[in-house]
Order: sequence, then C-alpha cells, then structure tokens
Amino acid sequence: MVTNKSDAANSLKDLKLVIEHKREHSPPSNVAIPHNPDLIVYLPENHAELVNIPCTIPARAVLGGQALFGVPKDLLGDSEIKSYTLTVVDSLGQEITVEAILLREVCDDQMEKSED
Amino acid sequence: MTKWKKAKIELSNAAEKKPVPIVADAVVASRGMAEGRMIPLLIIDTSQRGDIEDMVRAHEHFGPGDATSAWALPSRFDKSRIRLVLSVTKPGRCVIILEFDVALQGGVVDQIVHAQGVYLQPGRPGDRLVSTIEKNRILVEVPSTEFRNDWDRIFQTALNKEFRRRGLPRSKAKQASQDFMNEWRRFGAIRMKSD
Repeated sequence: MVTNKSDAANSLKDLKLVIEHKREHSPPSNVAIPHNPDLIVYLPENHAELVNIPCTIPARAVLGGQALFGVPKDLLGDSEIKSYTLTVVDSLGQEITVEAILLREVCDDQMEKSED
Repeated sequence: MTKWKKAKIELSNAAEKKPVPIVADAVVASRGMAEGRMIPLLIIDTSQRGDIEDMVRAHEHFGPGDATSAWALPSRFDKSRIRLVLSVTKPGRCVIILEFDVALQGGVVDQIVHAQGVYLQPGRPGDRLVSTIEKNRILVEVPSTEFRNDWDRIFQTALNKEFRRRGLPRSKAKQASQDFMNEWRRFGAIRMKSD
C-alpha cells in the first residue's frame, strides 16, 4: 500500500523489487526487477487487484494492490539472497523503500503445472 | 578549458574502489547501433567482480539500463594515467572504475572520447573478442564533449613524450604526435554504412 499524505495529488512512475544477493568470493550484487503485470496469467488464483504503473494517487489517498516481479532463474543462480526491498518512485523521482519480508514466491515449475 | 573538480562517488563495497583490469580491447561497428560508429570494446577481468557479471546478465533480461560516467585523474599531479568511472544505476547498482595508461592505451581512450561510448564485456585474462564474440556485453554511453579539450592536451603531451623517448627531437615529436592523432581519428571516424 502506498499512502499519499500530501494535500497535492502525486503519480507513481516506477515500482520495483530490489534484490540484494551475494555469491561466494564476490562482492554483493543487486538487481532491480520491474513490476510486470503480464505475469498475472501464471498465478493460480488471484484475489487482489494489480497495481498499474504509472498511476496517479489523489491527495490524502491510499493505493493498494498486488505487484508481480519475474526473476529469471539464471540471474540469481547459486547466490545467497541478502534482502528484498520494494521501491516506489514518484513523479518527482523520489524513492520510497520498504524491506519486503513476506513475499509470495511462485517458481517456474508451479507455473508450468498451472498452465496444464 | 575545464577545471578538474573533486567529486564523491558512492560505493556499495570496497571492491568497487579498485580499477577493474582491462584484458583486451577492440572496436565494434554495427548497423543500426550508434549510427554505425566504431565503438571501442573492452574485455574486463571480472574474476573478482561477480557483481559486474550479474549486472551485465540482468541487462540481457531487462533491456536498456542507466549509467553515468566521469573521467578522473588518480592524482592531480599525475596525468600519465586516466580513469573512467562508470556508475550503473539500472538494472542494478554498481561502480566500475577503468584505469588507462595514457602512453600505452591513449588510443583506446581517444576512441571512447570520440565515440562517446564503450562496450564492456566481462571476461578473464587471455580472453579476446574473436574467441568470445557470443558473450554478453553492454554498451555504456560516455558523454565526453566537455572533456575533449582536456583530453587533447593530455593525449598530445603523452604522445610527445613517447616520440621523444624514441629519439625524435622536440619539434618533430610534436608534429609526429599531431599526425598520429589525425590519422588515428580518421580511422576512428569510419562508419558502417546503413542499408
């Protein structure tokens, strides 16, 4: 959920999941995965509405919804995940970050099964 | 004439402080890319920088990213080496410092300055473009318009020194370096014709 506490309307231009990970004998890496609403077709069941980016948030309004991030398997490989951070960027380029703890992971195998 | 300024670069870890070794260089011109200009390609040794390999891999999945660049001197009193500092911000954040010996690698720097871009390809010592042509690489834009005048002076001084070291008298060394620069840039200005 994103809250606009201001008296002026604002817009969101980007929503991404930043994954910090580390391989053995290598400095930490990070990658920002953009929100991809097209992935909804792979989810077995959906209750919450998707967040559509870009979007506007009226003054003193709250925006809620589901965000989907596709992480290619070869990107993380044998890395150890250090953190997941959700980052929202507004129209002025200001970033709001929140550490994501409860992520729902759907791996490719499950996606394939759900397609059958 | 531009003045060199001190600037702070935000680093994510200590490994980013060290220049990444360059193991090979080449030039690449492609139809439909940068108007067919010849763009230098550097193969860098990323054996200690898995984060660069991850960033290049991420580019393959998420398309074009963002990066800023800056030319820097390791010391204000030493113009024999020059650094290119690349700060990649998208799809992942990492800082890549490339260090060039002006006398030995000035030609590559000159190509980067004039092409205003460079291809970076992660690799290992001994890699050459011909044997790693299928490997992932990224194109980083390096806007260098402001830096060009400074670079001309640095490059010419380094060439003068080199020609004099090889035995040319001062006046001839100056002419030889000017001729070399002109010839080198004529070669670099060749463009791949579009269809």
